[in-house]
Amino acid sequence: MTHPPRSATIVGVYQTQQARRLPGRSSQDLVIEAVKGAIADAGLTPRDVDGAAIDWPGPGGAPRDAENWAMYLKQPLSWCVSHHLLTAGVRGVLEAAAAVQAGLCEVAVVGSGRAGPFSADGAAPGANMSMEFAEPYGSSVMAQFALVATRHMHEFGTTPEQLAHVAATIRNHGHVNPEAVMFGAGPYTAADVLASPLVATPFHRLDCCLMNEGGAAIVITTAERARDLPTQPVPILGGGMEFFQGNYANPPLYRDLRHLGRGAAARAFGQAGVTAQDIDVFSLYDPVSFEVLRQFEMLGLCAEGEGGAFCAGDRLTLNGSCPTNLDGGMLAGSWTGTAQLTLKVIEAVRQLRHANGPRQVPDAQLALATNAGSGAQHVELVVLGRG
Amino acid sequence: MTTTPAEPFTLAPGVMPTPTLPAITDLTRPFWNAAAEGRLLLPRCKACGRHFFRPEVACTHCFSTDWQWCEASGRGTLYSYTVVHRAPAPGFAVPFVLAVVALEEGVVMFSNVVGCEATELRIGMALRVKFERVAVRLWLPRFEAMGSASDAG
Repeated sequence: MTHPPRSATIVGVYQTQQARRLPGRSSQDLVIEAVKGAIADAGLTPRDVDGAAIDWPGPGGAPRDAENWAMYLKQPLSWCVSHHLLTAGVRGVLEAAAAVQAGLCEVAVVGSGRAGPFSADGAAPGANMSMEFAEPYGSSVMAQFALVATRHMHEFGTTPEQLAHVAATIRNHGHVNPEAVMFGAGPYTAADVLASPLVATPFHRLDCCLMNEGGAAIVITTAERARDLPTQPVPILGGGMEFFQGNYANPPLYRDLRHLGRGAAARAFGQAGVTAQDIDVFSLYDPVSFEVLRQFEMLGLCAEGEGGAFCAGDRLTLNGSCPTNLDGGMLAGSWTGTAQLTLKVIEAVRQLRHANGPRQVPDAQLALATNAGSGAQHVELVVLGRG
Repeated sequence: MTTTPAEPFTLAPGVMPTPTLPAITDLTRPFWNAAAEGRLLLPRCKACGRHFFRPEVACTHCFSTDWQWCEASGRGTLYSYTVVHRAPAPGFAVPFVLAVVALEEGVVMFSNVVGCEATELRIGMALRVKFERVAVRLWLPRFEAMGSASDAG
């Protein structure tokens, strides 16, 4: 496959240690490690980087202006963004890709990290909206995803056992991934998930993602520049985003959010010239078990209401027809606030480099990474290939 | 919320504690003032005639900034719910029911369903508003099953 010279291409990735606690680490030094690591992985030096979509977590951990990165990267920088959802994940990668393709910069880094509790003006999900009509009722992120799942179960008969099977499958991927926070924990059966304490019905503790510390970063440049670099280029073939409304302040309704992301997927697959059926490996956002099966419905790989049955058996495993979250996802791998958004892309990149060890999907040519989900009322996704 | 002088306050028996109080603004104060009088107010657009919720500067249907508060019937149905077992913040008494209530006026809101067992909850069940005093000068609109015991009063 040939790509236009300025096509955005991922050439470097790095993830720090991810752990429940990283004693002695700060958000800032985690970001610095991730940024340095991703630039080195790309075979570049910091002064080669003229675009920064990177948190600058000053003392206290609050993300601040990315302009500060000019001290360490190319001076002056050509492009930067600072918002905590632009410095991570699919949204960050797509923004940086657009900047590269538009010629605003040549080499961009997307990166973030977190250690310690969220600061008041930090990256806590939903912190940018007034929760006046949500929090007094005891709303939380998990409970809001549960409100979507409950309605799906009501309409289609999806069962807690089906959700638990998804959770057990992904957690068992983390069981054998030494980089996963939950490495060695388990293995789990669906019965184990159902026996764990309830968080918010229908979700048990093992249906829900982790909260931990860590950082991650990605380097993006043009296809032309990528040809001169040592790593296997991973071109960004297509991307899309969808935002229903500000998240966590307004109730998430299944009737509105059932296929949230479908339009974004159509745009991404259209740009890539492929279909969901062509994807070899999936890196799906998994804040809760339910969201994985909803995303398969959203992608059109199964009919609405059939996600539970679709995800049954070994379909989501390395040997299944839809290998999904083979790193353990956020259920067993890592969730740090924003860096897990980036880890979704990194896992896809590593699969496409054909260097992912025991969890490598043989000859993977196309990967899909998604972020956010129905309870969060927004979805971003990216289709990646091999250059 | 503006600071209020400390006054003695004890929750009535059976009322669910609300450790996270709403951060009231000028935009939303009429809602809470009415709630303290036992009235449920919703924003209604003067331009298109439709209700919306939450209160926003402009109507979420037609973007008009010309809207007014209107009293709602207080009746609705249960659109979805979750029984929360893990307290989202210190002070919440678990388990409790976080609900999405579809009001007759066509809008939805977060609330709690109170006064019934979790096993009695059914999506689509008819609900009516019940104001509960959760802090000094603060009444929270919660919902109970239509036809429940307190309807007799």
